[in-house]
Amino acid sequence: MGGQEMLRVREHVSRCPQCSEELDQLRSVKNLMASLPTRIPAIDFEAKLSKRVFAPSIRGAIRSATGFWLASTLAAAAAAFLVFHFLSVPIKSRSPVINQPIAYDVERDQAFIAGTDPLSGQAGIVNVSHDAKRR
Amino acid sequence: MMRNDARIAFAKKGSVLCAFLSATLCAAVAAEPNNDTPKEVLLRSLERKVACTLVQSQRMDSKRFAVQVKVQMDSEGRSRRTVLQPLSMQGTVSIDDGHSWFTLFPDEKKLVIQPSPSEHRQNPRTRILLIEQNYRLSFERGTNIAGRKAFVVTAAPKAKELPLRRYAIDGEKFVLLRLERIDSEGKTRIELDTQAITYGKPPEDLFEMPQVEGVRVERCWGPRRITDLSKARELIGFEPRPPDHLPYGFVMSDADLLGSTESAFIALRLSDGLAHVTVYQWDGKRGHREVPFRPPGDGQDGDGICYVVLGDIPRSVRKKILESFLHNP
Repeated sequence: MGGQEMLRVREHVSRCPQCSEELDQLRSVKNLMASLPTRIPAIDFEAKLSKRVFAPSIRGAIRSATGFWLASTLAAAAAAFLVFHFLSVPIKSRSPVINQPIAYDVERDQAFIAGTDPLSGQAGIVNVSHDAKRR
Repeated sequence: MMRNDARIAFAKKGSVLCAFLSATLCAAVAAEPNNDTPKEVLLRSLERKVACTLVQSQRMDSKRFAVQVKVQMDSEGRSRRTVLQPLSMQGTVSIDDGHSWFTLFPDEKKLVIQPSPSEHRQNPRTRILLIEQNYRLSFERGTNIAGRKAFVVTAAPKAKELPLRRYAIDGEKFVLLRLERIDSEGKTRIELDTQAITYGKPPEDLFEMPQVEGVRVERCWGPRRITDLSKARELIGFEPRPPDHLPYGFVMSDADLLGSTESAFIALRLSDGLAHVTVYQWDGKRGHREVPFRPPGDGQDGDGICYVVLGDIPRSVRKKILESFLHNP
């Protein structure tokens, strides 16, 4: 559906209470999804993660463990630590997190660059406007 | 009677053999373009402007997903893209008339106008020379996409860290129909694929600015090209110094200014002919609200300049490029 058609649909929705209610529900879900932050891992994330996962001390502890349950507990604790360590608080300071509202300029710029190359295979379309990101 | 049956059987076998030979010949014709080299096919694809309508799935690299788009183009190079899927982007229209780029967001009732990307296209002949320096071009067996016979041009990188690219290009009109990217571990990703194509001139008014009542218009000035990097100091507080030598055969093609007057930052464009990389740079001493990424981005050099490297290249290559900037003497 093109932009003009979409606006005609919106015009109908503004006069139809049933469609309007359904659209409001869909829009609230969409806005919630759109507000989820995009997290780009830092360049050295993979190397650091590998280093931690395969750290000799952890492997040594697991090897020396005598029972299956002890090894499992250690593995679970290590996994929980890694998940907490990399995916919660510290990732904010490690990732090149985009600041708003300049973020939109970067996203627009990446779409612009895709648009300059007919062989890029990329869409060259900004996926959402700046206003929608701020909501 | 017996002789007649034998003749009929022979004739049937003959027609089957003829059909088989014709099919083999057609396949061979599809695979072998008429005296064209892979370089010439790629060059024609870059140079030709063909009026057509396509339904394609294209990758949104910033979001790591593909969108289905209706693409309409004319012989002057103007284009209109209408997003069909996913639902969250459906109805978004992007028009490039060769001078301006309009993006209509129906959900927000907003129209964004900025300079056209097609004005910033690299010269195809300069580009093909760079491609030849960094890639080995060859033909693969032809294929059929959306009912069209296509040449398949493979661009194998001379640097093993970079991905191999496989371009399926319409054998008659030279329109790109499919692009596959195969990384150094052999993993294939389809960047672009065509589901349908029709050739012919689309209606003229498709490429004009959308006239919709009640839509807010936002005009953006950037990216603005900078021809003299020494003059960038006044705008961004430092003079960008691209490294003398970039890894993997990349060269700096352009520099653009982005952001606003208070929060301007610079984007250096690098290319190896096929892959594109942007190195964003800003003064790390500026406040957090005025910079594009949270400092130090991907890295910060001795002068306090912050860097972020983005592009359709593997992480290890991004890292090497970043290092060439950070350790720039």
